[in-house]
Amino acid sequence: MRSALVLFLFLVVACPPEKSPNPIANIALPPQPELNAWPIELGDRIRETEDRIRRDEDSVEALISLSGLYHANGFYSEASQCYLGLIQLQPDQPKWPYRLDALPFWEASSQLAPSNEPAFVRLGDAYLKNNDLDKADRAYDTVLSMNPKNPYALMGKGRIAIGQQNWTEAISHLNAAGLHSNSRIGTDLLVSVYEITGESQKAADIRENVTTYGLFFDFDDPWIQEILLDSYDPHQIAVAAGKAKHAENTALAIRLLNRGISVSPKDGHLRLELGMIFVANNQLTEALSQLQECVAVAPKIEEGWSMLSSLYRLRGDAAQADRVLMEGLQHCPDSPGLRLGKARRLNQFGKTKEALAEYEIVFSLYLEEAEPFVEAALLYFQIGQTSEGFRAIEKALEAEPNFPPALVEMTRHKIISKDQEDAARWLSRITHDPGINPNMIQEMQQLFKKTFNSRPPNQ
Amino acid sequence: MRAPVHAEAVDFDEDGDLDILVASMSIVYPNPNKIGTIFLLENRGDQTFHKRVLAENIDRVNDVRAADFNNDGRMDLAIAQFGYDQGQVAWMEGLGNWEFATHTLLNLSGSINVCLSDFDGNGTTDIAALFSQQWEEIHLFLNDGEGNFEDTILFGSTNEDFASSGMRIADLNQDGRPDLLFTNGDGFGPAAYPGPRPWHGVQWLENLGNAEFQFHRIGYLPGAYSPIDIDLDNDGHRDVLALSCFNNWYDDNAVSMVWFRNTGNEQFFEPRTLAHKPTHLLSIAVADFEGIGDLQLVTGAFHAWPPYENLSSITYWKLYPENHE
Repeated sequence: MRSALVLFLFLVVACPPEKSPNPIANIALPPQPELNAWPIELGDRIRETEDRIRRDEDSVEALISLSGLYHANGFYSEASQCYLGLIQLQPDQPKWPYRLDALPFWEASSQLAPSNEPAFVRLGDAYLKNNDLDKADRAYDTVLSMNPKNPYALMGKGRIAIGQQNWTEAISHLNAAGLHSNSRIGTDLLVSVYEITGESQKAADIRENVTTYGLFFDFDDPWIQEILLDSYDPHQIAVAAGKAKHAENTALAIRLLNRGISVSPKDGHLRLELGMIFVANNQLTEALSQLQECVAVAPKIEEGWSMLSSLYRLRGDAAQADRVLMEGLQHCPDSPGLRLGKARRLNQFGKTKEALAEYEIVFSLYLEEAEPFVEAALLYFQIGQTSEGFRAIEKALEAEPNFPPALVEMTRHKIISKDQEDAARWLSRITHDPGINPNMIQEMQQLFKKTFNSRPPNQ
Repeated sequence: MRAPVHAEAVDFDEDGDLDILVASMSIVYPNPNKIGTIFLLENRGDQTFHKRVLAENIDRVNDVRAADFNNDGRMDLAIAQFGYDQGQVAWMEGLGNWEFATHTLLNLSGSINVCLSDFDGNGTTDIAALFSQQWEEIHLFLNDGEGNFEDTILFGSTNEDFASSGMRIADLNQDGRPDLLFTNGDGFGPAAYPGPRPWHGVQWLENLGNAEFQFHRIGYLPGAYSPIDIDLDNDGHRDVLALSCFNNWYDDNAVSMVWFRNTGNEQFFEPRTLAHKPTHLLSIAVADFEGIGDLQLVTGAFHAWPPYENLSSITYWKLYPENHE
């Protein structure tokens, strides 16, 4: 949202305001946009604030409210006009230029609020993207002088060092960024730097251990996030809640999602997301309520049924968990996740053939993940259908060629089926794979030695 | 061939017929493994093709294009490796006998497209690359003619959810300099589910010469993908078509194809809805497929997110120039 705002600044010049007795209205009141597709309440609030401005009743506060309403709902040209007016009315307030989201305004804001970390990170990023590396470096240094652990500034300095091919400095900054962000910031670049500098084992170690943290998230930005509690756009609110969640600001994420639900009570995705946050927070009663609402208002959202079933199981109510799973399948018969859940339950009940039939339905619906193929393969091997087992493992490796359990099970069952040539080939394949646990490799080597009375390859 | 996401027709072996370069991600959904492949479908001359693997077990590949970057008379490749956590833009120097040496230009994940042209007018082929993920940047790698490239950033958003989705070369103002047309509208990001954002849309970078570019917004299009320039109303001005993949498809008014009509001086592009259905449109090609002097369109859809209604795979669109429908 931030960057988009600046795109519309030019429109401010193109849209002269309606004349009003109050000079603020003439300076800053934008023409009202088309609001037919929006909730009536938003239009009412905009009209009410406009009236206050025109009547000069607490008009600066009204303009602040209006700027937030426009900004939060994606009317960026209108918000820009309000902010430009507010800058004239309150030249010492750093929030207004900050929210205008453009390099000169961030420069102005950071001068007005020299201890506002987010403004300097934004400034550093903007300079970097403007090829002005010296200014970017100084902006990041300012952030680090306030907070030496700021991972975003450290990552910015890491990028600058990469651009200068200063690998030692890049490693230092990126390592620190990862250290202060639970490996979420900068670690992805660190792998590339290690590969460039020939430290392939370090790169492989990070690839193995940290890739699950791959999702970047933006930092907490209170001057922007506070606006969104005035949003009437469920998508926007969901985006803001997602950012807050990833920034581990759970309280704000919950407030935003509740705001979203009040705007759009039948939005099952918002209830699902809120339910998942409550599960992660161990607020299981609140989670149950949201997930029940989710499947009630949006029964076609398969994840709602899946999460609700898992929650009942977590609470020890297996019978209700199974009932929810089956009800979910009635609404979403082609849901691979729910089908997989049923297959796993059938397997737990010892109904192997029925479970395998269900796995085959999963495979007819979804072929992108290796794990279900491996689960089915193990069942096939268990009941002696070896060729079907190998077929399933091959499918697993088609889906994810480096999926460690698939590689290990392929190796194990080639050994068990006494196919020494293939067993040696697969064992050789996994022996130097950094994604496979060394203990597992050792176990396969011992099994190979015991089975064939022969030294394993590459040992 | 699994998850082929870009195909480019080029006479790679320079035998007088068109071969097909294919970028394969192997798996479209997020995956950090080195599972990307570059294929060449080598035209045997009778419209049958021999499949060659030019590179494999590399970070997932989103785009591949061919040119001779170092003027040694051999075709080289420019590649966009989206990867996931790691990725890169690189050029692969053709060494002959189907051997290549890979030269990294920039290690960043999320590269979607590489576009080749002489952007600075020095007579050599340069590379423009669009990066998504959290970077949201367009880089220009200027070629000195010997395969040495200098990197500069042409555009960057500090919004990590800007959602870059595609870039193409166009000469919108017909001044003979290659401009860059690009969209932002990718659906996946920090939100719980994909959908429109107020900042999604279409824009172009006007090439002012000497590797200087100026940003222009063309218009709002939620979930925007695959911008393409075309003179749809035959008025001599280049218009822009773009698709929408990640729109709010529960809303019957959500648009899937928009024509941004160039009103004459590239300062204002009037948006006109061309289609609401089929939905989830991701890819477009335009040509006179029937050889009748009119243009036709082909679109491809990507139904990775509900609702699973109004589905299509490949759709053929005939244009009616009299009423521009």
